[in-house]
Amino acid sequence: MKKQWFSLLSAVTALGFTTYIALDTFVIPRSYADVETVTSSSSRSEAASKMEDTEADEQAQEVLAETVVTDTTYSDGNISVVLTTYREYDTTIYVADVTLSSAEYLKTAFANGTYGKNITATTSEMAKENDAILAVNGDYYGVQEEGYVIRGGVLYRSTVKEDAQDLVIYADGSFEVIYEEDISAEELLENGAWDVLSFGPGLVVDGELNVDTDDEVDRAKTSNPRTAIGVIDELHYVFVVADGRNDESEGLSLYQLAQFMQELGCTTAYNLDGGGSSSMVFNGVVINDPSGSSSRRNSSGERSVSDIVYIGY
Amino acid sequence: MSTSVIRKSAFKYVGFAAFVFVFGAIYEFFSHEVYSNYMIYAFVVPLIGGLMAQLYLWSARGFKKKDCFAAQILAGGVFWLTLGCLFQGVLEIYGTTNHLIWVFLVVGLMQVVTSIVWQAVSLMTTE
Repeated sequence: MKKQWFSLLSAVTALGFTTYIALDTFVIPRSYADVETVTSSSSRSEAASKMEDTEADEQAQEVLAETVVTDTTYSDGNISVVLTTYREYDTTIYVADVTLSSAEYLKTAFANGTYGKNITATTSEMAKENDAILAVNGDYYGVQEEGYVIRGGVLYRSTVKEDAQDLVIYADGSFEVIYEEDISAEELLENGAWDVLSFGPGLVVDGELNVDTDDEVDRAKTSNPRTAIGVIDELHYVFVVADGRNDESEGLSLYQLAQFMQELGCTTAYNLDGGGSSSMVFNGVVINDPSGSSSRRNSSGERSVSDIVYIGY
Repeated sequence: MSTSVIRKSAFKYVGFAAFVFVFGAIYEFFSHEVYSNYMIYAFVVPLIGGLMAQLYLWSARGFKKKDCFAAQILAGGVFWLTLGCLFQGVLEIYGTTNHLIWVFLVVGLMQVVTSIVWQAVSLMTTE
């Protein structure tokens, strides 16, 4: 033992450092900004009015009709959601067809209302906190150290992630898929970007498939649970979640997901964080079957994530 | 340096490499077919380190000392590099990054280089 003091000291130091870096990566919460204390300099309608050729409403409209809610539908005159379950590619796919009277009802939210690292909550918890009618998991920005984060017209992170394709949701509710290397986060804000999601890739761009059969997210090789969002027409969106990794559902490849989104009629569609993160909540109920193995799960199998995209007031 | 010490060192490195190989295989088995070369090939690091240690010990077998300090430094470096490979694999499979990952490489390489220099100096001064 005495003869090997150096190698033992080095090994203990290495294990100590590994423990620290593991806690830093996965456990220690770090708050960088509270959403309530960081607000956009202009409202969404003001930002939309700055955009050229915008037809967005200048103000959120009041509820126009009686609210009708069923297990698979929601309608109140401003917001219409129709939930449909598909069975394709040996996979159960949940599609929420959403029509809005104003882009202001398409929103994003951080876990605990805080931008930071290792600050997470399940999609259903965030949906409840924000009174969301419909919610899906977002881009899980918190596990990345790079990639644009713009939410509610506020720039939180402007570091460029190499080869990253982002979904830009403009203040008027229109979608665009961009490469971070092509435009700065500040320029996106000036152009009217309200939310920017950095996961990808873009599945459908200008109505055409944007992925090949061999494209995958990083090192994932197989069919997986997926979450995607797409726009069909002005203020007409689809939120899509596919099950996977279980006996009932194989999951989708990116190409299959892109084909599915195109068949739904999307002109622009974008892949959000998938795998164990994929989750859809409608009227407070988890619709899909979140799967996979993770310590960050609640009893319904949902993984805690950094953010959601949702429909609500 | 006795033959038994050299043989014991070889067993340690091969045993560590086998452990790392099994760890990586089990981790990949539960990773939903998300692959990382760092995780899969991490066991190569202790194998290469073991070969270097064998060279050190054989070259120092005429020494009267029962231990070889350069081999100790090397073992520390190999451990840092192997741990770094495994942790990078964990990060890649999870789909995340950490800005401190370079520390494993720098500290590990520093120890490996120091061990080479130490061994070279030891051999020259002993001659």
